[in-house]
Amino acid sequence: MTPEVLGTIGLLLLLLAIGMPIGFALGCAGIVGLLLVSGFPLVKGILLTAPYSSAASFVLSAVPMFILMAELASAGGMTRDIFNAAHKWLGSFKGGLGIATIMASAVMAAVSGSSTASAAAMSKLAIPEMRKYGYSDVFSAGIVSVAGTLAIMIPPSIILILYGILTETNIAQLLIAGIVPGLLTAAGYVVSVYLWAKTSPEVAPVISSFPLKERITSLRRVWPMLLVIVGVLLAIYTGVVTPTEAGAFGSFITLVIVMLISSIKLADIEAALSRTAVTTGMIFTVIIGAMIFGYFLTYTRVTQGLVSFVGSMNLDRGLVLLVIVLFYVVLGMFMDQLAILFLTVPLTFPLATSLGFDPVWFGVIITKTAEIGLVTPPVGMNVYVVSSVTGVPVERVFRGTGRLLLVEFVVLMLLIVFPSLVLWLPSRMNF
Amino acid sequence: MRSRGLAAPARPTPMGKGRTRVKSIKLLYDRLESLFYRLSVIGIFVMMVVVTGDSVGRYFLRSPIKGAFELVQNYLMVMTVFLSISYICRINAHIRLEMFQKFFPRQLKIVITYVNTLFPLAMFFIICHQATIRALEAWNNKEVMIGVVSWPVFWSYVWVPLGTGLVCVRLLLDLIDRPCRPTNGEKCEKEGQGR
Repeated sequence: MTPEVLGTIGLLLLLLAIGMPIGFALGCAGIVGLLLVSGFPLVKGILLTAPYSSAASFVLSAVPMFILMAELASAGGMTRDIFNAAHKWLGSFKGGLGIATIMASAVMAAVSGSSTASAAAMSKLAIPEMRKYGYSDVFSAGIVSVAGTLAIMIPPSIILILYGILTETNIAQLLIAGIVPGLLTAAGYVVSVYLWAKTSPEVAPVISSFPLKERITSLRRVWPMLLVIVGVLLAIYTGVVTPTEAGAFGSFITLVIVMLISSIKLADIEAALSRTAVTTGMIFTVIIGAMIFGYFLTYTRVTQGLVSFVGSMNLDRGLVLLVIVLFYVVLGMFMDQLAILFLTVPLTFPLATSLGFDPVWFGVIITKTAEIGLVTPPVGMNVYVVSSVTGVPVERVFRGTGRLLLVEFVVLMLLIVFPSLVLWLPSRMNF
Repeated sequence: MRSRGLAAPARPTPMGKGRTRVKSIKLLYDRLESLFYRLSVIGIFVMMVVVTGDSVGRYFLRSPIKGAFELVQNYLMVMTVFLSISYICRINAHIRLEMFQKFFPRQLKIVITYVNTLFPLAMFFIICHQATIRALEAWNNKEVMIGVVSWPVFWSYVWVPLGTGLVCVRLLLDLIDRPCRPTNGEKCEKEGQGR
């Protein structure tokens, strides 16, 4: 690496450390790097086209649309209804409300691509309910934090969509590939919560079961969410919409359903749209910055240099993968998942594919490590969201997530050792 | 000891007047920014309707909405993204790392705030400048995109100079009004500190 490249990467790290917004830091460092290696005319040329072309993308319209779908489902009370039904059916098991939270989060994940949105919604619903029945805050806040991460894996996943766009991997295959790992993780959480409640009954007192009539009645309000999920899947498989258009279609039917069945106000819809615009702007600022920095990486051939360097070392590909996975897990402890994706995938993806790893499988592995990063200290975004919504101190939430992290690592190991867990389902689909 | 009695109100100092003026400009600017942000929100709603209408029309009626793809890609997406960035700056919601700031002394935080404002300001200024040239070129040459519908290029590009220009003004106002604002959005302990 030349001094210019090292200096630019150092500048980027410095700007990130001093708290500059990640998108701005990527853009500024990229511009300084390009100035150093080529001069102002190239910078002007890149800035003429890169910001515009980062936003002007039909494929990327899936990002705001899937965010909107989740926001509308939450604003319309669909999330609350799913949790209530899960509560009625599963509440009487050991750690039943915790299990209900996980199941409701898994269903919520099927309409939401954002784990923090999922964790925020579930914090408001599940934690007060668990407190009412004497569950400990460590137990309940830990469960809500980890269950929220399911949204990052179970389709639609914003991270997998962005990975697909960054690496030109088939997005439909990536989304389908997330199903088995997502369900496997949810099942792991259920077992783990059950065992935790069984070995430490004081954290989750057993509550009496609800009458059958009440349980059946609770199912009446589950159908809207299921209708959205089935409607979107059917629309994709029958060819009514492409995976890119599915978010808009899903948002539209969610809006129609919540307007028909709930007392949603215009202000709630406006608020959902507004939150979507903010999240979209936040994501695209990172995309624009990453695009500028990407030009710098391409111009200086850093990626090719790294691939050649690792190739020349004749290392075992398993060892290289292990290092990459550890690198992502450690990075996930300190950085935002989107930033990690945009900063590192341009480097690690060519390396992984040059070693013969499947692009779809690699995307799911990266997403899994991002999932872990959401609940590990010191920067576990979901933990902060749950803490701020519920008032449970951050360290107590981390204590709760710590008990459930083992599941994450076990599932990660399973996905690495048995790639067919990821690749089997996409291979059955005709894309 | 400072008196808490019925003292006559202090006359505003010239600096105080200046600060009041900046505050009023900021208030006006907030409204303008919110107006453009509303356009961004409307863009998202229109996108949802257009994409759904196009796909349903294409499948069930064999009649897609003409130019829906171009409308979403070249207009609504660009508008939605660029008109929201400045508002996100205002509410301090851009994604950033905040773990190290608590270790920085106050004076260093002030320097960092300048760095965190001036660097992006320079970047957005160049983007705004370049995008303005491109948009004006499209306007002067009456450029259109060839397709099912002849879309004017100017209305696709104009959101970039508009959005990045809004960010530039936002950053400038922040620099003038709250130079002591720490990077993680904490409130200033003392107005005017760091000037």
